[in-house]
Amino acid sequence: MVREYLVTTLAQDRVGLLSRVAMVFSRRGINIESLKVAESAMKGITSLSMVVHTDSKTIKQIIKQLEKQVEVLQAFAAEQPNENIQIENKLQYA
Amino acid sequence: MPDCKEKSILKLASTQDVNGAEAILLSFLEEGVDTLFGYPGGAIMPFYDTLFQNSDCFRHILTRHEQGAIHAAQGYARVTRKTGVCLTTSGPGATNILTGLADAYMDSTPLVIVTGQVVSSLVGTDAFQETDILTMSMAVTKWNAQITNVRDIPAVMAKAFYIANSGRPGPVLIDFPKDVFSAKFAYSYSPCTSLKTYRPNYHPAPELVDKAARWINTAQKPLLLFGQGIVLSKAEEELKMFVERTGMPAAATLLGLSALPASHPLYVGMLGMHGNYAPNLMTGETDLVVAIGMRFDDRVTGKVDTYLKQSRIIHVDIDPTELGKNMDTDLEVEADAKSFLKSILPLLSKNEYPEWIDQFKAKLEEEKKIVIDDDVFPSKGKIQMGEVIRMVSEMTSSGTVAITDVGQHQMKVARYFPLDSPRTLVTSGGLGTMGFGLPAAVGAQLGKPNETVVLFVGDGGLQMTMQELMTITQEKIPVKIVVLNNGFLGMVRQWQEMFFESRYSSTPMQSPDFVKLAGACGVEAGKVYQREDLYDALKQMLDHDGAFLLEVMVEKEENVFPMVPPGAAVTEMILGSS
Ligand SMILES: Cc1ncc(C[n+]2csc(CCOP(=O)(O)OP(=O)(O)O)c2C)c(N)n1
Repeated sequence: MVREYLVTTLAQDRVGLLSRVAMVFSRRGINIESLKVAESAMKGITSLSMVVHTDSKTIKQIIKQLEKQVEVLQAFAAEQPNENIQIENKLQYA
Repeated sequence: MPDCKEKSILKLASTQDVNGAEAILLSFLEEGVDTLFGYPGGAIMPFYDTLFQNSDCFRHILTRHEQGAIHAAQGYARVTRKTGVCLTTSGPGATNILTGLADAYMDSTPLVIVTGQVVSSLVGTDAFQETDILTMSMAVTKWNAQITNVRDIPAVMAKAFYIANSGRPGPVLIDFPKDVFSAKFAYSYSPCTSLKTYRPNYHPAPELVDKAARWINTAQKPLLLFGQGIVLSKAEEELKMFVERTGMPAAATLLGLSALPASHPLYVGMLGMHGNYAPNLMTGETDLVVAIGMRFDDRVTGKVDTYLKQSRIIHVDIDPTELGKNMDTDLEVEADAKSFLKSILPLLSKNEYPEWIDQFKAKLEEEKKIVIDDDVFPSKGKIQMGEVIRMVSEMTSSGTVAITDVGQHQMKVARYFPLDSPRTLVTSGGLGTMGFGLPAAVGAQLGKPNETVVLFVGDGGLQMTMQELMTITQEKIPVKIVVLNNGFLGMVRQWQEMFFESRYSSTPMQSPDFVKLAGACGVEAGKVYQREDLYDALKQMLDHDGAFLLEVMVEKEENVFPMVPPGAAVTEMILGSS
């Protein structure tokens, strides 16, 4: 099932980094819908956040492929919280 | 290279500044590189000039095309397990190696490529012979970089060699703007042994090893599938111990061939589309598959939804992206093959599976009767590829290195040239690159100068890179070339026959007179049409002191069987077309 994911990649910044990261998505036909590149709190480490739509199996593979890039320190994905879960959470706090 | 130390630039570097080109050569010496494959041109000329002045330290092989240079470096790397080095100029020189990069990336071959680039001030201006090789090669390199400051050379070269030949090996490309070759700086080198953001995990988690051992010790019908990971981690000995201890039958992928001697009693053959009948069929019967250093390529799995459905699967690979990529498995172990085998060996109980092994033997008998005997011992009709390959294997010693190109002959070599010593097969697996064979044979022979190197190549594939015959002559490389000429692009013709109602669209192919062609290039040659002349012709080739090309006119419309038809399950493998 296709869901929305926020993929965060922490990597050593250098020329071509963004291309290598983008390539991991483009070769699987996945569009990067939004992108934010910013310095992280860690010196020399950049944080790239991307929003994409894909399924859970593909996102797992993408995370590993991102981490396979020599410059990448770590990559992880967060799933857009499902509305039902939000409601449950709200109920808990009610 | 005996004089190297005396005159060496190593000495020079300790007393004065060196230029960029010298620094590259120094990094080669530090990394134990003495054989280079390449082709000069404008942007890389300063490097070649420096190489000329240090020719006592390096042997540079001038190929006739950059594709030849990179495939030769691959052949060299594959037989030596060292990093191959290849040099090209900018623009067309660099783009000519893209196929080789893709091939090396797929087949995990460690390479360091040095490309020349236009001078720094012209980068990005569409200058003469400028191409953005960094972007172009990104998808087919493990890592690439451009040097912008001469001072970065030692660190970047050290990193390049480290990345190329650690973890899952692969090609690394470093691009040098022309002015960098001549700029001077104070040189010092320290090898790279770790990187913050790149940490291949060699050692398996102990709890996973324990679990794997428990599963293995209690399996009823276990089956080992091994790939090139064994060869790359030099785990041939450990593999043998593992197989002998567990008693489990072992099957190889195409690139795994030679990791376990073909004559080993527990070796049950090759997997995949044109592999052996028994190991393919038995994937439908096994209750535990242990897959080590292989990646469940689609040519191995056939229709993946039906593959190994009844079985538990343990998958061991150093590249975590391979775990769970093509197959969902029951136990994913991220580790180097050697390390995994070493840690699991003490936990394994001694076992034997005589009845299970007998099932493989029975299937092998069937395959022999229906396919193999006719392939390798035909008594009538035209010469068959299989009999040529069998004869060469019988006439040569076990260290002989077999090289193939791509097509029917490749599959026949994989099937009928039994390999008993490690790293004795060089073939383009993942990419299936026609034209790979002849240049790869050049590199392999340089890597194993004391072994016989025999290339089997189709008439089609030879015509893709046949200019390297001239390299063979100029560099006095004594390779034996067996051209299996069927007058067709054989493998494609077979598919046309089987799946396109024999419409032979663009597969009949004329060839030059290969004997004359070889002669014109200074390579001794012969040609054989009849079975009764075959042995003598092969003997003449093998006895000849130096390179020799033997063209063998084989059956035109021979097919490779058994075969897993495209889209079918491997258990639906067929032994013939009827
Ligand atoms: C560079 C390249 N182009 C096309 C192909 C597709 N292809 C695979 S096998 C084959 C036929 C090879 O013919 P030949 O070299 O004569 O060998 P044979 O199959 O007859 O042994 C072709 C065209 C390929 N593998 N590589």
